[in-house]
Amino acid sequence: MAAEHSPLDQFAIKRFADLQLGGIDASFTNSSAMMVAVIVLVTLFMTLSMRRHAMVPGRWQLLAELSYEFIAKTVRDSIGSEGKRYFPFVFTLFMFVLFSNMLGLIPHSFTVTSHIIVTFILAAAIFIGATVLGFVRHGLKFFTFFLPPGVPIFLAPLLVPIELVSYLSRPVSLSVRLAANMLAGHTMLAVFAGFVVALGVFGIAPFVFIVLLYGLETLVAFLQAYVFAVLTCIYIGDSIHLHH
Amino acid sequence: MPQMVIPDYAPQIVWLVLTFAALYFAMAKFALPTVERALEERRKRIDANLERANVLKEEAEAAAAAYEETLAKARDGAHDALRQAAEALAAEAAKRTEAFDATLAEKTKAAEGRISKFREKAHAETRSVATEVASAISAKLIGASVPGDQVHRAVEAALKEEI
Repeated sequence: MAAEHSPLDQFAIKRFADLQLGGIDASFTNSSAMMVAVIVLVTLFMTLSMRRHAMVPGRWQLLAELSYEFIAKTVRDSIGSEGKRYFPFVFTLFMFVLFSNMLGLIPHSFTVTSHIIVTFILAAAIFIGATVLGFVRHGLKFFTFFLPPGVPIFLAPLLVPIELVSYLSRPVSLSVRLAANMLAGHTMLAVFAGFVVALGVFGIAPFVFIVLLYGLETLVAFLQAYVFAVLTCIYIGDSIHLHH
Repeated sequence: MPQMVIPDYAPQIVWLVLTFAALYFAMAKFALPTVERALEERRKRIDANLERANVLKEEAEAAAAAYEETLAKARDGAHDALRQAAEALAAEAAKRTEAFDATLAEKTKAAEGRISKFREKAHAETRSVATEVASAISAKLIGASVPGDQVHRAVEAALKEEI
């Protein structure tokens, strides 16, 4: 197989226009184009569907309201009444990841969230933000987060490192989970799409499999966006409530 | 692997930050408040309607209670009227019966008076007839005229025996 037919080719960053922003490479790439498409579509979806904001919602308005209430409920459940302040952030995060995942499923498009650097920046921002929030709300008491209440003190030398490692691994697990899911799903789709061509008439078998896999990947796209949003809520909630 | 190309990181980070910030701004400042307003309006409308429905329900219940009360009062009034009418009728009937009894007694007395008068008259007539018949018979049988005084006494005695 030639290099340009590799299943990983779909993840290649292609520069459309070279740009520099204060000495930093800010080239407009296929990834940038998808990000712009994502935010334009989310904005259009949320504004056009609510343009009339009727008392009895139509289909699009219902969809927008359902998205709102879905995330609002998630935030309320894991953060509580104080979560209202973080709702716009979680909502933006969810919509950004969801639309990135979904748009990536369109053949020949590009999946922004399949790049670990994108998900890691998001996860790192959430992790740093939640940690700063914890110290702002609780000061040095935030360190007690690493020693759950009711634990005998002689267990502390064992437990604190475990809790610390588990806490520090949050951004890694959060970002890797999303990127790896996207990467694996799209790679698998590309591999089986290659089989369809290679097998000729018998390509019908991998073709049927791809159709089924597409349904699964759509589910995964939604689920991973949801998991990302829920974990963000939980991290923020931990910083606010310290112990749950 | 394209994910590991370090030089591609910088443009992705820059565009991620830019687009995410723009989306956050658009959501937080415009889109989400609109949705919240729409939801709030609907909730208020529903609450107001529910409240009005409650008020109307209470009014309907009050009206039903008033109706029941009026009905009960009317029923009581009808009972009273019936009882009064029955009492009045009974009193009237008693009065009339009394009056009738009185006239009846009067008439009976008068009739009895008349009857006894007739009877006495009849008795008297019977005596005189008996006396005459007895005188006539005794004159025919014995050919002698018995003095009226004796005949009279004999008749009286005979009448007494008979009675």
